[in-house]
Amino acid sequence: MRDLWMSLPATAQDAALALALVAPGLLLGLWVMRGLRPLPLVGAMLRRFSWVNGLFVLLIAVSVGLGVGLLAQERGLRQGSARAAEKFDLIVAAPGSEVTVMLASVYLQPSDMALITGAQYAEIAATEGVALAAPIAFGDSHAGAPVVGTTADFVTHLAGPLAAGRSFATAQEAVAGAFAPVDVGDSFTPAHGHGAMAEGDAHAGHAYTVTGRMAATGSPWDRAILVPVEGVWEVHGLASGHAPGTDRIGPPFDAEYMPGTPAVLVRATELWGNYALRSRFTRSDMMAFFPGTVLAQLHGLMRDIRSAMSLMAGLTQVLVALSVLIGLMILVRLIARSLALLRAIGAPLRFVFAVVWSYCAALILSGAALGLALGFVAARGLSALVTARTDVLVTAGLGWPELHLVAGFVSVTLLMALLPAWLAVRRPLLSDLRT
Amino acid sequence: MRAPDLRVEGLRVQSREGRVLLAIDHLALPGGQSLALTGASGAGKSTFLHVLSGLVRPHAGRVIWGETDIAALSEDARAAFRRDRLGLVFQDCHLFEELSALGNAALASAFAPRAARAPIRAAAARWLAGLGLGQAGARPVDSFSGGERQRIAVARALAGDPPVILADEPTAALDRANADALGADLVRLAQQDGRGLIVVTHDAGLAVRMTRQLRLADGRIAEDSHA
Amino acid sequence: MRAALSAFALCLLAAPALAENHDHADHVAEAEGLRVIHAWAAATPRGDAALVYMDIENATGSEVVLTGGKALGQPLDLVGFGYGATGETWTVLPALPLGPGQKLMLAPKVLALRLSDLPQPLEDGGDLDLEVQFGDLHLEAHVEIGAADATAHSHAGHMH
Repeated sequence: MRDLWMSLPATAQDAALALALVAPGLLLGLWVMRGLRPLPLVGAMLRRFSWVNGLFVLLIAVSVGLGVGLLAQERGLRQGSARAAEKFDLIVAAPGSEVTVMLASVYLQPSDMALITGAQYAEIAATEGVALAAPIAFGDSHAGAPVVGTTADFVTHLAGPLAAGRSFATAQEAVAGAFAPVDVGDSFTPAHGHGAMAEGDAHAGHAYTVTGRMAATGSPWDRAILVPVEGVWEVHGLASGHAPGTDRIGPPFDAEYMPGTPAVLVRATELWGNYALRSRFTRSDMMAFFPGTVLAQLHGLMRDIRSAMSLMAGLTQVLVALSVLIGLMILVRLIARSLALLRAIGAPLRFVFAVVWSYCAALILSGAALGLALGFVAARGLSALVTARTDVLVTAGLGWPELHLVAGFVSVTLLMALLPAWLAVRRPLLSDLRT
Repeated sequence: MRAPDLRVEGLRVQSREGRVLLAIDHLALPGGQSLALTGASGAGKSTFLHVLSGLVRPHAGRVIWGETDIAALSEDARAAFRRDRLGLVFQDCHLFEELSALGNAALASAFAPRAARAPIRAAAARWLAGLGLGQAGARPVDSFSGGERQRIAVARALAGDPPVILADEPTAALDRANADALGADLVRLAQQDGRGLIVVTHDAGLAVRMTRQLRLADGRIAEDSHA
Repeated sequence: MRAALSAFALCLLAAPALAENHDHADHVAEAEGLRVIHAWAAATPRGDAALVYMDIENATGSEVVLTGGKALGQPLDLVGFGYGATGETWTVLPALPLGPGQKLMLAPKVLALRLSDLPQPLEDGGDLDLEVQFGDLHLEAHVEIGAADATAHSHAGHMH
């Protein structure tokens, strides 16, 4: 059985789980409705009290939508942050906190960091199996956008062919990220530092001219301006990475004239090479790590929070459903006269039971369906908000976990709907008929 | 159609406090006869009709329709008996406002056995036409006048082709003209197919249309007169 | 060369009192300068994939190539971790060369030897005999089983 389950594709497993979750509710429905056709009557009752019913549906929908939206958003954020790190195979930096280096180099949230020296960089770049060793030198900004020093190869590695213009060819040229606040042809002087503390005139006299624009990557790099690392060093009054008189940019750098860089992105020629290089560069004077590993560990730490969130989302919905059902029991008084008439003209108790249950089921199912739609819209809205604030492209859509949540919710509440149905058939017939 | 004879024996219904609401030692009504139950308010007329229809179970006694003692049946069996054998008309017509006239008249098709559903719908349309509402079957019932609404309720009572019709103050909410017309319709429809008809009414005009009048007082038969 | 070398030391279930004086042979397997240190795995139910981690040091003076392993009569694949929009993935790697004097760290969410379908559960506190394969060169190692949520060997950080 277990082997059979494991042999199924993930989609089939998810679909089977969703089906298993919703099955109790559906089977219950089939059992309650067997041989009866209460729906035309239920439709009439729903129309009769359309305002009240609409309110109940909305209440369920908002609760389902919030749960679904939050779950989808959390997953979207996780996937978005993982996608943003995908291009960063291996980061080598001076020993310290992997999380700090990852936040700085992948998500461009810079902090003060020790540097990889020119000699260390030269060693890394010269190691057999290293296809790309790109310095990532952050610290400056322009109009709120990070200005990052690197190489033309890194630009290509990160975003593929440019969307417009050409890559930088001199230390005074720059390539804009897809949504950076500069256009091709613009010139700007970088500020030293970031945000409110940035020193706007620290680099007066230096200017970059934008020569190209990268395609969108869905990462914070879309807001960044990429410049040759030589430009960053020059702007800070340091050596250019090349022997004096050399008028070129890009690797190889001359270790003697290389001021150092906070981080180096390393990519091996072969997939397995990255794993070997990680061990190779993990030593007392430098550290090497996969941002994917650090991110997976961080997300792993949040798994418990995620489980708690899912549980709370589920519980909240059940509680809302419970209050809705209490409301329904009160609502049953509204339709009590109609139910009494049905019994008076010969409807069996089972039919009256089915009418009330399917009345509740109609509200629950409409609420759940509307909730899914609301959740989808909410997740989209939140995603746009998070993308705007973090530059991590978050595309939250509805996935299996949300469908599982809703399927479970539907089953539980359909089961709970047996209660108002049971209470309805126990009402006194004659006094209801006379009201 | 062979309407069942009705036999009532040793019937006792008490209120929760133990007050006697109905005490009818013996009553026999041959099948197909019409009967008016009259009397002052609180005399027990409606209670008697509820017992006859199985809506109320007596504390003692037997209510035998043909061979069936309805008082001895379970709740669901009494419901099934009402569905198959009795057509009920109420003072307040009790219509589903969001359904059409035909939807209301054919209401029993929602819970009738599958084979009976189509005949019920066909009969409902036929009865509506017979009551002068043939063109209006699709209209929502809230667009009908009081007299028309009560006719829809009569069509509903007849749709299952019951051998007996039980009506509780069917004309009480109607004006004189409508009351007379409905009373005439009820009697006509019952007589043409040989149905039994039992009507609770304050309306002397309606009562005299019945072949027999039973006046109740304090839950007992005070007067039994045949036309 | 088909020399299956064995440096596997018999292992006793160390009583807690003896833990401080543990024999480092419990945690180290060595042959001709090739060392496997702190091999461990997290407790794993039967039928699941078990991931085995360790540090490998190559002091043989020549390159060795880690190719996989064998335990409980089944082969272990060398797998590398990846994390992206689709979630966590483990990709089978063909082999990993280890130059002379180099170290290789097989660690959670980085690199591991994977036993795909466990024929019996790995239980916390238990152990597992593992053959680490470097081409024709095989090294017997002793795998310590930690808790299901363990993230490192119980003696991680100890120098051996």
